[in-house]
Amino acid sequence: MNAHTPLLWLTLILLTLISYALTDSSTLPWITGVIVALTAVKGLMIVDGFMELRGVRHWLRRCMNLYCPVLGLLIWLLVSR
Amino acid sequence: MQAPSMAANDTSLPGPHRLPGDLVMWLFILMELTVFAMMFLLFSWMRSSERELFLAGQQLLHPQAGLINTLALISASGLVAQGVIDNRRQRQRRAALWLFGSLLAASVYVLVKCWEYWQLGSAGYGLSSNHFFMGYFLLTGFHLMHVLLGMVILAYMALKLRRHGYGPDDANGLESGACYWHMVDLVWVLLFPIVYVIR
Repeated sequence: MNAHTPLLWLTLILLTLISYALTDSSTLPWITGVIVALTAVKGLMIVDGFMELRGVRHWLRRCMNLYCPVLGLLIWLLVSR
Repeated sequence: MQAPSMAANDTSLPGPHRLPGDLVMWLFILMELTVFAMMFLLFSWMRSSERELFLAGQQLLHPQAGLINTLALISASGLVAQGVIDNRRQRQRRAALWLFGSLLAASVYVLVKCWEYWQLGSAGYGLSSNHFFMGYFLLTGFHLMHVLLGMVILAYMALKLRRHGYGPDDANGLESGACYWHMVDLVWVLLFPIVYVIR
């Protein structure tokens, strides 16, 4: 992943622009779900790519990898109720 | 069986299965992320209780400013990651340049955030206006403090890199500082949709 920092950066930028483009439609629960899912993917990319935790055998990596998906799910459940 | 040997020869990698940076920094990062998670959940819960108020508050924000800030912080993170890689390749001066570039990107974030605060302040909105603005100013203000601390760390690391203070075998401090900065980026990546995007 480290050799592909520009590609990772570009993907994160594209995912951010997609999320932003969904702003006006985000009153729909499923669109909110898509935005939260995109955010979780971005978080995982930062953790594995920029933070260089990909391939690391440590409990910290599991915690970091769970952070965005679990928090995203909880936030989605809260804002969709 | 070529792939593992290629990976072993790639000097841009931190080493097989090695945790980059210092364990103490990772524990600090986990603690910080926990605090931010509680703040995000509280903000989301308040939003579900006062939906109309939060929607009206969001209309007063500038989503373009949030977008610019997201792009600035992601770019700063990418530049820091490249700096760490160049340090491992024994290109310290180039690594320092990447870090100075990340400082520039972070400065864009600070300027835009200050402009947002000034705009809202001029319109009479502050911490005590309502629950939305209390959440907005507390969340973004706490994050801004982390960005400012991160910028001090980046400046210190860039200057140290220029003096060849880090090297491929002496990069623990650089990796720890870089991971702190990526944590700041990660928090904003979550904050941006919660505050600006989701309606």
